[in-house]
Amino acid sequence: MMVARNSGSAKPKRGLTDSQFALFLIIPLVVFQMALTVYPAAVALWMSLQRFNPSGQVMSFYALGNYARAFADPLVQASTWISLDYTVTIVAVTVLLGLGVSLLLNEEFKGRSIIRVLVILPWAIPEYATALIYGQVYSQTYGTLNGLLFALRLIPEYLPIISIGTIWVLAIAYSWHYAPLAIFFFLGSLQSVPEELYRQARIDGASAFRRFRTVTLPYMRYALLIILVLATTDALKSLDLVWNLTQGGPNGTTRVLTYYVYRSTFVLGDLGYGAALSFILMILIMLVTAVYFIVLTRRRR
Amino acid sequence: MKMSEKKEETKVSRRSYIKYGAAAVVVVAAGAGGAYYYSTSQVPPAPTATATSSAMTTAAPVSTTQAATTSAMTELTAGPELDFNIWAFHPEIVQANMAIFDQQYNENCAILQVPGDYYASLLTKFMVGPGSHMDMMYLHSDYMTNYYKGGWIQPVDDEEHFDEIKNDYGNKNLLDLLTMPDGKQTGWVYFNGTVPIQYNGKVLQQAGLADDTGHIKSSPKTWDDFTQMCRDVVKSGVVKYAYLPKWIQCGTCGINEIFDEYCISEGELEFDPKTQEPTLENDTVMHILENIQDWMTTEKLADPGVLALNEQDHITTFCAGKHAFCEVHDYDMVSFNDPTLSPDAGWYHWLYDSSSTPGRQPGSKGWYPFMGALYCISSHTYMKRSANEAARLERLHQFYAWKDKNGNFVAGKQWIQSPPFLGQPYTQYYDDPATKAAWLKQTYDEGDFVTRRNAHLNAVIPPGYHGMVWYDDWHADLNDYLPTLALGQVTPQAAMTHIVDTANSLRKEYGGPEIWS
Repeated sequence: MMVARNSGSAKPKRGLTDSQFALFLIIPLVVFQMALTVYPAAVALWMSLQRFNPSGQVMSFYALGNYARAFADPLVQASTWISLDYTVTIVAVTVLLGLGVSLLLNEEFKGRSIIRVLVILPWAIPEYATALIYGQVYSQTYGTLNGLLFALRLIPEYLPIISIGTIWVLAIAYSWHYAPLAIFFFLGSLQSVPEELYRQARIDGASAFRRFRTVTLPYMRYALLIILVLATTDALKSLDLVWNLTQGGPNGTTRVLTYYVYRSTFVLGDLGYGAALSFILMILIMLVTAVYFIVLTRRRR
Repeated sequence: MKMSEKKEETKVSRRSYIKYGAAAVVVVAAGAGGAYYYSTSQVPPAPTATATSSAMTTAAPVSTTQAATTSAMTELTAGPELDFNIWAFHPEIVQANMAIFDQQYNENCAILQVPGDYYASLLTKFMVGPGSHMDMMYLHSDYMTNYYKGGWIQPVDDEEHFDEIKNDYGNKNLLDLLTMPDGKQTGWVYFNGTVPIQYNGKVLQQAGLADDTGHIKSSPKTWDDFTQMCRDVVKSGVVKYAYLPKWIQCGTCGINEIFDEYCISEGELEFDPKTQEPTLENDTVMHILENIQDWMTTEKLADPGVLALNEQDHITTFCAGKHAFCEVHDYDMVSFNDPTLSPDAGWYHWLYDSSSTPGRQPGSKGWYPFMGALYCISSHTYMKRSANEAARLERLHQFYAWKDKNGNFVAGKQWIQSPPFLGQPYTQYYDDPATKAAWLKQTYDEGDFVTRRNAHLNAVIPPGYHGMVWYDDWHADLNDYLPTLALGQVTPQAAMTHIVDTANSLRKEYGGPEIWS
C-alpha cells in the first residue's frame, strides 16, 4: 500500500486516505453517470408521473396513473409475455450456439484463427443491419431461405416464414447477431482450463460429456453468467430488429414491450405512458438479472 | 531495493495527479462554457441598410410569422446557417435544389438527413431538446395536427406570397387539408399522392377480365363489383389469391390507412368535422368491416401473408405477378413497371376503365384519401429568430414549396420528373411535356398518366380527420385491432363496437373541437 500513514513522532502528513483518493478518482465517472444516466432517468421518472396529450404537452399531474393504466392494459400484458418469450428463445439459442461453436473453435485445426475472426463478424453488424439482412433471408417473394428450401424440394411454394415463425424467426435472427459475443467469452474461458485436468479425466475414463460437465463447465461459470445477463438485458431492450422487420406484426405476435414503448412515446406522443412503460421494463430487467445472480452464485457460496 | 526506488521516482504523486487533474477539469469546463456561451450568444446580425423591410430595422428576435409580414426581402444579410431536416429519400434531389437556392440567394444552408425509420423520434428530440436547433423540415401529414397543436411548427398564414401560393395550387382540396380548426395553415405540400387500387393486367387478361392490351374491360364501380372480380380471378385459377391488400405492418400506413380508403371512397369521413364525434355506426362502414373479414377469411380472396409484410416487401410481392389487385402509394407503380423488379413490367395499371379513364376508386363516391408530406417551419419557445433570419427562412421555405428567385417552379421539377414521380400541387408541373415524357418512359401509359394527374389535381380529397389530436391513437388502435377482424377472430359487429368505443373514449380523454377555441 502506498498510503502516507502517520507513524510515531513524525509530523502527520496532510493528504488523502486511500478511500478518499479512490472516491476522488471516481468523481469524473459519477459526474458522467449523473449527466447521462441519472438525470435523464429522473426526467423520465417525472414524465411518467404526468399526463401528456398527444401533442406532447403536460395536461396534469397523474401520480401513478400511467403505471395503473399499464398494468390494466391488455396490450402491455401481452407484450410482456411476448418479450419474455423472445428473450428466453434468444438466450437459449445464443448460449447453445455459443457453447457449441466455442468448443469447436477450441480444438486445433488448420485455419482456426481465420475462422475465429469470421465467426465474430455478425456481432460487429448493427442490429439494424441484421434486420435488413434477415428481411432478405425471410422474404416470401425472394427470400434466401425460401429459395433454399424450394431448391431442396422441401416446400412446394414460397412460404410466409415470418407469419409462420413469428417471434421465433426474429429470435433466431437476433441470436445470429448476438451469439458471437458468447463465443468470444466462452472461448476465453475454455482457454483457461488446464490441459492437465482433461488428461487426468481421460485417464479416469471420463466420457466427453462428463469431462465437459466436471472440468469445462466450472471454468465457464462466470462467462456463462456474464452472457446470460448481457443476452437477457439486451434481448429485453432490443427494438431495431422488430421495428424494421415486422413492426410488431403479424397480428401483434411480435409486439415486444420495447416496441410498445417506442410507439407510445414517439409515434403517439404519449410521453408519460411511454416513460412509465420504460420503468416497468427496467424493473423487469433488474428482476431477471437478480434471479441469475442468485442462482448462479449460490452454489459457490 | 533499487527497483522500488526507481518505481518511486517514476510514480506520479497524488498531489500532482490532483493538481493536473483539476487543471484539466477547469480547462475542459472553461472550454465547454465558452463554446456554450458562443453558441447561445450568436445573436443574428442586425439588419443593414440593404434590407428593404421596415420590420428589419430592429434586431430584436421575432418569430418567422412576425417577420413574414414584411415586404419583399430580396436583399437580406448573411446570418446563421439555416438547416433543413429531411428523411433519407433521394437526398441528391434535395441537395441539387439546395445548390440552386444557395447560388441564387448567396446562402449556405445545411441539409440534415435523419434515418427514415426513426424520423419521428429524432424529430421529437430536436424539438423538445432545449438548445437543439432546426429551421425547416419534412413532416408527414399524419403528424401535422399534433405538431401544430403542440406548438412545434408554426403556421404559414403570414408568409409573404401566402395568397399567391394558394391561388397557384392545382387542387384546392389540399388547402383544406392543411388548415387546422383555428383557421391556420400548417405548411406547404412537399408531395401529395393517393393510395389507389392498381392491377396486374396480365393476370386479369388470363382470367378473362382484361382486353388484349392488358387493360381492364370494365372498372369496378363498387366494392361489391370489386369482390366479384376477385372471385372471378380466383375461380379462373390463374392465381391463388386475387387481392394483395395493403394490410401491412406499418405504423401509419397499414390496414388503418386502407380502412380510411374504403370509408372515404364511399364518402364516409369517419368523424363529423364539426363535432369530431365518430360517424362510423352505419351500414356502409359495417359492410366495409364485413368485406375485410370476407376477403381474407370467409372467401379467401385476399392473401393472409400480407399481414407479415413490411412496406417494401409488399411492393416486391405484387411485383412477382401472383395477385391481380393491390393498393399502394401511387408512386410505387414505377416499381411494378420496372423490368428489373417485375417479370410483368408494363402490365400494371391504375384501376381505370380503358374506355373512359375516369380514374376513380371503387365506392359510391370514388374519393381518394390523402397521402403526402409537408414542408414545415419549426417553432419552439427557445427558437427565436431575428427578422432577418426569419425572412431568409421564409425564402428557403417558399423556394422548396413554390417558386425560385426568378419566379419559376423549380424545386418540384426533379421530384415529379424522376422516378418515383412524386405528385406536386401545381398544374404547371403536369403541363410540362418533360413530365409526361418521363412518366411514359417508365411504362406508364396515357391512361395512367391522365388518371394520376387527375387524382393529384382534381380528385376530391376530403379533409377528414384533421383537427383531432387523438386521431393517431385511434388509428394505431385500428392497426392493432383490424387484423383480428380480417383473420376472423372477432365479428364485424364487435369490431364496430370496439372502434367506436375507442374513438369516444379518446375524444373524452383529450377533447373535441373545444380544445381549439
